[in-house]
Amino acid sequence: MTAADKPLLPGKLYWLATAGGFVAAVMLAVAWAPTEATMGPVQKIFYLHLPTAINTFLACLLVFIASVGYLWQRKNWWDDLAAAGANVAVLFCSVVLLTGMTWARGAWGQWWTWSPRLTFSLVLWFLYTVYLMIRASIESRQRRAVISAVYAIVAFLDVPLVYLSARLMPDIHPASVALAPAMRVTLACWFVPVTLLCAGLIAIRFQLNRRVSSAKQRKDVRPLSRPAAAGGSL
Amino acid sequence: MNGTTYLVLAYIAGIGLFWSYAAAIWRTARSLDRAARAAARSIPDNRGDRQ
Repeated sequence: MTAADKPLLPGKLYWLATAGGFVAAVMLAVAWAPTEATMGPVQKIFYLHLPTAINTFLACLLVFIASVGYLWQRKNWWDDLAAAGANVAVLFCSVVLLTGMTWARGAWGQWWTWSPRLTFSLVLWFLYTVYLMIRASIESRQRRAVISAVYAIVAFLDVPLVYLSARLMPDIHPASVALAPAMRVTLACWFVPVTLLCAGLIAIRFQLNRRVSSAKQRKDVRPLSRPAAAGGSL
Repeated sequence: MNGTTYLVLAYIAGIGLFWSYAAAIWRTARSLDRAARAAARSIPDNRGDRQ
C-alpha cells in the first residue's frame, strides 16, 4: 500500500463525533445557557467566537514551531506542517472576524470599529493570508520553505499583540468577561468540537500536503530517470 | 434585525465555513487518490514500452 492509498486520518468516527459535538454545543447555547441581561441572545455568539480565537492562536503557534523546526532540521515535513497550520489559521481567523463582526453589529450597532484588538486581529488574518500567497508564488521547494519559515516566525509576533492589546490599551473589546456557571459549562462544551475540528483539519491538511509533496517529487525525478532507464541515449 | 437573527447568522457563517473547508479538503484528497491510482496504472504500460 503506497502513501496515496492510505485513508486520511482521523477517520469517519472522529468527524461524526466532532459534528455531534457541534450539534450538542449549539443546543446547549440556544436552549440551556441563560440569556445575558444587557446584550440578549447576540451574546451567545461568544461560545463560537472565543474557542475559535484560541484555536487560531494555537494554529499560529504550530506554524511558528514548525517554521523554527524547519530552519533547525531542514526536513520537508516541518514545512508541510507549517503550511497546514497556516491554512487552518486563516480559516479560523476568518471565522473569528465574521462572528466578531456579527456580534459587534448586534451589540455595538456597527459591523467594524478600528479598536486595537480588532485591528491586530485583521492584521493577523492578512499576515497569514500573505504567508499562503508567498508559498503559492515560489516554485523552488527549498527556497519557498526557507522564506516562508522566516516570514512565519516574524508574523507570529502579532499573536501576543492581539492577546495583549485589549489588556494594555483602551479598547471597546472586553479583555475578559465574568460568566455565570451555566455559561462557563456551555463555553467548555464549545471548546471540545472546535478544538477537535482544528486538530482534525490540520491533520488531514498535513497528510494532503505530504501527498502533494511526494507526488511532485516523483514528477520531478521521473523525466531525469527515464533516459538512463532507456539506455542513456541522451 | 434583532439579536437572534445575528446569532443565527454568526452560527451559520462560522460553522458553515468550517465544514465547507473540511469538505473541500476531502474532495481534494479524493481527486489526488484518483490521480495516484491512474498514475500507478500507467506505470506497467511504460515498462512494457521499454521492453
